[in-house]
Amino acid sequence: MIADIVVSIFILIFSFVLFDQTKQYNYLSAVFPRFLLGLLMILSVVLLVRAIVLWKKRRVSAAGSISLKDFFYICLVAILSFLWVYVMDWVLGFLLGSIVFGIVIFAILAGRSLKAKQFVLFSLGYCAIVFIFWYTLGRLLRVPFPRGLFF
Amino acid sequence: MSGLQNLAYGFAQLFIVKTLLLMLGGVSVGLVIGSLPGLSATMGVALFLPITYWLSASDSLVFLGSLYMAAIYGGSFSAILLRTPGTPSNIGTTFDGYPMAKQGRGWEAILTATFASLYGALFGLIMFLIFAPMLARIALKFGPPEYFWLGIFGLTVISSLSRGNTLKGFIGGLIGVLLSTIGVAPVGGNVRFTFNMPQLIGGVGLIPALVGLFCIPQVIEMILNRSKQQLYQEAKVQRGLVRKTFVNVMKRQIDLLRASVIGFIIGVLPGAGGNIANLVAYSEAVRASKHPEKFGTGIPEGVIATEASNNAVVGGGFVPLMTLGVPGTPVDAILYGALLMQGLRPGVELFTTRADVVYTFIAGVILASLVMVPVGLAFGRGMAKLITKIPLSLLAPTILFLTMVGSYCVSNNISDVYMMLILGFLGFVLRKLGFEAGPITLGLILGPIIESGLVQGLLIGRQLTQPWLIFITRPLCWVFIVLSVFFLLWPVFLKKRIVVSGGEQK
Repeated sequence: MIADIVVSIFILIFSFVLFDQTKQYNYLSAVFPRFLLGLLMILSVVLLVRAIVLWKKRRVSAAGSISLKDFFYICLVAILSFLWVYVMDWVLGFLLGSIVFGIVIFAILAGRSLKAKQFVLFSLGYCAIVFIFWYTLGRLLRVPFPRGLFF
Repeated sequence: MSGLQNLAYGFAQLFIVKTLLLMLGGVSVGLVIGSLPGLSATMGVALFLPITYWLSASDSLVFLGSLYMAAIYGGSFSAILLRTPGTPSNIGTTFDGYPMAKQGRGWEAILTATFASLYGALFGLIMFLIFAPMLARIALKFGPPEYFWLGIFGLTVISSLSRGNTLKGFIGGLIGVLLSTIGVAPVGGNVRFTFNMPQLIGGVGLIPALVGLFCIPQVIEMILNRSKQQLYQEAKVQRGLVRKTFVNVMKRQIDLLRASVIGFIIGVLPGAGGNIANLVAYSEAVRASKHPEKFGTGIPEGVIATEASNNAVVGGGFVPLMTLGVPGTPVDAILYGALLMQGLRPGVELFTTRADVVYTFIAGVILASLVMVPVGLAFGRGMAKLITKIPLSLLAPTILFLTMVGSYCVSNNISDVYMMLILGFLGFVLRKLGFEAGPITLGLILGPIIESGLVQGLLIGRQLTQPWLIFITRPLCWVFIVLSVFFLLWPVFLKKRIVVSGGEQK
C-alpha cells in the first residue's frame, strides 16, 4: 500500500509538471494532453485515497518482494546492458560487443551452477547465434550495425 | 473482388516457395517460443517483428501470423509436460493437462490440445472472414468523432479487462496514451514533453516500446528464476491413439463451440487476450459440466476448453485490428506495428484498398494452423524436453541480444536501443507495482487515434454553437458511448465469472 501511495503522489506531481508545460503550447497541441493529464490526476487521487484507506485497515498487498541478492543481479544486468550498448556503439562493435557482454552476463547469472564444459558449450552456442544474426543482417541484408573500433 | 475471390488469391500466393517457407519457419519458431516457459507469443512476435522489415507486407504478416498461432499452441506442451504454461494463454491447460500427464496420459493430453487448438484456430479465422467485411463496411462511415469514441472505448476495455487491479489498468492505459503525446503534435505542430532532448522529438518509437515493455520484464523474470529446475513428465507415444482422440474431441462439439465462441468474442474486445479467454472458457466449461468435481483431476474437457478458446482469440483479435485499426490483443498491437513498418495503415482503408495483403495473411494463418498439427506432434514433445536443458542464465542474455537487434534494426538508430532498455526496465518496475504492459502499449497505440479524433472533431464542430457537441450528436458515437459504459461495468461482472479452479492452482 505504501508503494501505491508513493506511486500516486509521483504521478500527481509529474502530471502537474506536464500540465504546466502545456501552457506553452497552442490550443490544438494542448487540448488533448490537458484532457489526458486531468484524467490521470483524478485517477491518481482515487488510487491515493484507496491506498490510504487500505493502509489504515492494515491490509497489506501480497505483492512479491525481491531479495537483496536478486535485486543486485537485476541492477548488475541493467548496468551491463546499458554499458553493452555504449561499448558496442563506440568501442567493440556489434559482433564483438554482443559476444563479450552476452557471455559475461551468462557467466554472472550461471554462477557455479554450471560445469566448465557445459559453460563452454553453451557459450559457443550463443556465439553461433550472434554470428548468424551479424552475418545475415549485417552482411547479407546490409544493415549498418555499429562497427566500433574494429569491424 | 469479392471476399471469396480475395481468399482464393491469398491461398494462391501461399504456393510461392518463399512464402511457404516463411510460413513453415513461423510455425517452427512459434512452437519453440511457445514451448519455452517465460517466452510468450507476444514476446516472440515482438522479437521477430523488426527482422521482417526486409520482407514484403504479405510475407511479413504470414510469418508473424504463423508464429503467433503456433506459439499459442506450443504453449500447451510445457503446460502439459512441465506444468508451466508456455504462454499466459495456456494457464488453464495446466489444470487438467498436467494431471493427465502424471497419470501416464500425456500423449492423449497433447493430442487433445492439438485437435482443440486446430478447431479453435479455424473457427476464429472463419468468423473473421464472415464478420470483418461487415465491420469494415460500417467503419467506412466513421469520421473523427467516431474514431475518438472508438479509442475511448478501446481504452475502457483494455483497462477494465486487464489482469489484477482495474484502477491501475486505467492508469497504465493513460500512461501509454501520455507516452504517445511525446514529440511533435499531429495537428497543432508544437513539440511536446521532450525536456529539450532531441532524441524525443520524433516521439516514442512503437517497436522499441513494444519490444522493451514485453521482453525486458521477461528477461528480468528469468534472472529471478535463474536457478529453478523444471520437472518434466514423459509423454509416451501410444499407437492408435491419434484417431481415437480425434474422434473423442470432435464428439464434444458443444464444448468446442462454447470455448471457441468465448475465445472469439474475447479476442474481438480490444485489450483482452488468450490469457483471459482460456480462464473464462475453463470456468464456463466447469459451470456447464454435469461433473464439475472432476475438473482439475485430469479430464480432456478442461484441455479442450482452454486450448480451443486461446486459439480462437487469434482470429477474433484480427477483426478490430484489420477493420478499425484497433488491436484486439497485445500481439495484435505488435502486428499493428508490423503493418505500420510496412507502410500500411491498419483500419478500414487497409481492408478495402489492400485486401490482397489481408487475405494472403489470413490464408497463411489458416494454412499455418493446419501445418502446426503435424509439425507440433512430430517435434513438440522433443522440444519441451530439450527446453528443460537450456539454462535460464543463457536464455536471458540471448533474449537481451535479440531485443537489441530488434529495436535497432527498425531505423538503424542506437537511441532506439537505449529507449527500449529504459522502457523495458521501467516496464518491469511498473509491473511490480501492478501496472501491466498490455494496457500501456495499447494506450500507446490508441493515443494518436484518440487525439486525432478529438482535435479534428473539434475543428469540424466549429460550425456548431459548441464544438464539442459534435461528439454527442452523431448516432454512431452513441454506440461507442454505450459500449464504453457497458465495459466500464464489465469488471464487476467478470469477477464473479472467473473461477480459477483446478488442483493445486486453486
